Amino acid sequence: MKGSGIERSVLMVQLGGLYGLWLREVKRAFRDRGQLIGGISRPILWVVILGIGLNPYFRGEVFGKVNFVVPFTYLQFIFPAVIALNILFTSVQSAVSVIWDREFGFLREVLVSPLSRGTILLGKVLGGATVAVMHGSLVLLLAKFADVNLTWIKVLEALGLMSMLAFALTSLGVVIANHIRSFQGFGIFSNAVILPLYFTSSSVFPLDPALSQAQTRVVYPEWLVTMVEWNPLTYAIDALRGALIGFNQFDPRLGILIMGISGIVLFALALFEFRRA
Amino acid sequence: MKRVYRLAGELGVLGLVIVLMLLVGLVPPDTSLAEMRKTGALKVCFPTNYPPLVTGDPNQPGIDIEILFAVSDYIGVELMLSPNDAMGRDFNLLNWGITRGNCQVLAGGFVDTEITRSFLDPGPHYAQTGWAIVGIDPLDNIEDLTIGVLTNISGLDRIGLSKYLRSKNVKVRIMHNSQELIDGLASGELDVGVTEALLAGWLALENDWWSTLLPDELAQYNLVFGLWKGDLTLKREIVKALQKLEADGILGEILLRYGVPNIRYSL
Repeated sequence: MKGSGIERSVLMVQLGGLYGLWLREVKRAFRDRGQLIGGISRPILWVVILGIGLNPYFRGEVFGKVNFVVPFTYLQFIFPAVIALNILFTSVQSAVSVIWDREFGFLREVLVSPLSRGTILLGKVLGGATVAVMHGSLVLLLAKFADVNLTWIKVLEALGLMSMLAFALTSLGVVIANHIRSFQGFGIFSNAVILPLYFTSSSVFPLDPALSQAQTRVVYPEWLVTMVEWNPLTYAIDALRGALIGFNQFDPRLGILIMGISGIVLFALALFEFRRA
Repeated sequence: MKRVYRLAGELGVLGLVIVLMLLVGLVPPDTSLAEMRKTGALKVCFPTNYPPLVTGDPNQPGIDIEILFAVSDYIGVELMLSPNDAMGRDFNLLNWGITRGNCQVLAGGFVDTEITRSFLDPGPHYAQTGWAIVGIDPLDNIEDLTIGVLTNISGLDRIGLSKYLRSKNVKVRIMHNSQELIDGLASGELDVGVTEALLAGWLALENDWWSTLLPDELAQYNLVFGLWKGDLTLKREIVKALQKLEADGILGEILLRYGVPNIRYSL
């Protein structure tokens, strides 16, 4: 009886600590105006400026002639990718708090608390992921502009996928932060990861689902197709497209599976390195 | 008190961000509507004859033409009609010679399918269609009969229809226009006809014949107007106009006038 009471109080301490760390990450992000500006400037630049700018190149001019082999407009096509971009930037950047906390001694204080390292890391990752999902949701406000019809079911489905993606990417950010000791180094290195991941994820151009593997390799150079197919973010964006505009280039279950596995593997890796640090 | 002010400040910033994003959404994404307003005309391409959507009769021009007249009235521009002989006659869409320069809207039997979406941005659907049978007298079974098939430009699933007809072991005669189908049925050369549902309903109404939809295994499609991909501002205005027409009962009245009974339309 006494033992179970102690176990319960240990669990409550861990949960209380988890909540505290999660709330700290969320509050810090809210108070960071720079992050918020980044959260709105990316969708404005990508959806509004790039979308409008490239629109004439992707629209039809002669009936029967197809330039862009996707049954949607370019704005609709890039809309889910911009949600992923906002999540990608925010998730990875949120891990900068690991360096921050290490630099200013907060991490040392938390590490001597009764919280396990797993709880500390989970609190940070969940906090970062929550902020990333919020930033991803900001893009949804442009749905009408991009002519994407949202229903509650679509939004809930997208939020589920966005949460999985944000969790995996925040864990990736922590893995990077565990290896990099300075803010400047983290900024440069994370950009070197974020941008190639994004551009090789079929975010701004489609791999035509009507084409076979061999045909695709005729349209695009083989190295590019291979990079797109090997990039896990490709399947996450594809799953988001399926949820928001009903268009999939791959099996939609693949996106959920890959995001789930990536989340578990990256969190386990982050935890392993966090324990060792 | 300080905490309340701080919280209000934080929520205020978030509110400001949301308002800013919503305001950005109001920026016009293209010039299609502005261009149409500048010329004062909504240009429409359509086949010369596709009853009941396009009839060629000035007194009863067809569902699509009447709806588009009402839409252009709502927008406050003229409707410029461009009948196109090649539409439906030629399988090669490029031979129809339709460009963004000569029409902003394509009408007369476009259905919302993945293939259509590769070429065009479909507007909201105002009716549903599919394959239907039309005949002089009601039938229980079409097995072993001689059937006239008129596919026109409806974009419906021709392969599905062909599989279905083969499974029924019928003799198929390809019809080139609705008059050929009417003549074949009237002369008894054909037992029944199979064509797009609205056309079948129209022929039945005009000739006091019988028509029914083919079974559920052949899909139903939404009938739409085709807009050019990327002409979002024009599409929004047309959607608004159609919603107004539906709310005022004008859309339903047009559909009923052309004998589209119990039609399911939704915007």
